[in-house]
Amino acid sequence: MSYYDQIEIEDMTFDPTTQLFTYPCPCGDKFQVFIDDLQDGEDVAVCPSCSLMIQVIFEPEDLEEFYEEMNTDDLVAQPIAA
Amino acid sequence: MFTKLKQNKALNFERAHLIKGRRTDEMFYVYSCGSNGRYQLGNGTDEDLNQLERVFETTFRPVKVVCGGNHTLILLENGDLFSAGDNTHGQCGIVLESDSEGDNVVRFTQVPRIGGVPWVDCSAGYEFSVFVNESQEVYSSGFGLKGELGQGEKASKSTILKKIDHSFNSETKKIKSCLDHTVILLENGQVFGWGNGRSGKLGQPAISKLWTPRQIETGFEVMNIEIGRDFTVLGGLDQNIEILGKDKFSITSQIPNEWIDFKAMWSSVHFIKSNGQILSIGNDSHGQLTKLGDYVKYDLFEVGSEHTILQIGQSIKSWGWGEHGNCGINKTDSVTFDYINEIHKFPLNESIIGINGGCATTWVITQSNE
Repeated sequence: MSYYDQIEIEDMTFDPTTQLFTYPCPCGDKFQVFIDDLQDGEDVAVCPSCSLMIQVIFEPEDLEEFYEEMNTDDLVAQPIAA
Repeated sequence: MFTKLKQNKALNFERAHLIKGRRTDEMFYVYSCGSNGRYQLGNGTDEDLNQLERVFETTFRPVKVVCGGNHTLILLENGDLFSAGDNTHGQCGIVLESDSEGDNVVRFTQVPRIGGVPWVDCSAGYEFSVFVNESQEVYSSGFGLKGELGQGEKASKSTILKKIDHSFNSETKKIKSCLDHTVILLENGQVFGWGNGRSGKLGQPAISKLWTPRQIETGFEVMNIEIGRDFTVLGGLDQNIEILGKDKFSITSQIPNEWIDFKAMWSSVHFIKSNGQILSIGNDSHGQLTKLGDYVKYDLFEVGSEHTILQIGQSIKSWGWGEHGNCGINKTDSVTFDYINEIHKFPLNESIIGINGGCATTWVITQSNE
């Protein structure tokens, strides 16, 4: 498998709502990978519009802050009923 | 502030046929092919093209075609500016009519002048654009979370053109935008940049979000700039070169001793030597690096995000990553064009006066000889 490039997770954008890490693809669309897939050991982000793939460079502990971000958002979105 | 589009279109038509009160027969054409998911080719469809199609015509010489992720700007010598493609965040610089095709500008449409002042330069980043007018005012529009608009702290979206509050004290010599940063070279040699500076591609100190223009300190007088996805290349007299930012392909260690020009794809730099030879350094995952060897008899050489465009006489050729038709019709079933492919040969009644590349798009400007 040949990657277009290797990209550090710090350079990707994380959206807590979609739970996706994204990074611009040279075709104009965006490479994407779910945080859970990274957690499961997957390290490839794919572009929905073309065949290019990037390898995401990260350590498992890098994901913690993003999971926290998701949980914080959940709390805001769904306040616990009294 | 914005004139109604329909009025604009009528005006353009009028202007296109009159120069200083006389009709002119001189015609210029813009052709495009490649990635077209957001109408960025400006031909009214969202289908990719693997052959060049005429998408714009004008009596004023087009001086620049620049491409963002999914939008395109065409600047004419008379200071008129046109755009097409993804306008979700206003990156086309146009306020769309309600009957338009989603958030897309499907054909080239005029970007209104501000205060009637002609545009003199422009650049396009991933989801934003930067516009320079004759009064040396710099405007931006579009979207960017990392300071791409240059409009100040946390200004990440601007659906209309807003002025960047910075007084550049010299005329613009060159402006370039890539993914998430913009660099501007002034006639007095000063260089300014804004946007994502995390890796140091906007100089030191490396700041991840530079919301306003900041001068880039250089050790020599800068004559030329090019930018890639993760880096900025500054070139000066006496073969001085400085690469700011992430140099993951070890470009710095391979710079030739002698060059007269250089071009940057997203992840590679291509030096042109005085004898015309091209030396490519960087990512070759999809055949991006030069296929020319010692061949130097080309007329124009330009690059897109990850492919090359070459003019040899009446012929337009290409190599590199051509998945969207931007390198023409492929001769193999691979998206990598690791050979020089002819995209089109123009008839003798049209002269090629400019070429350029975008994000998997290819652009050719011609002048009619009839």
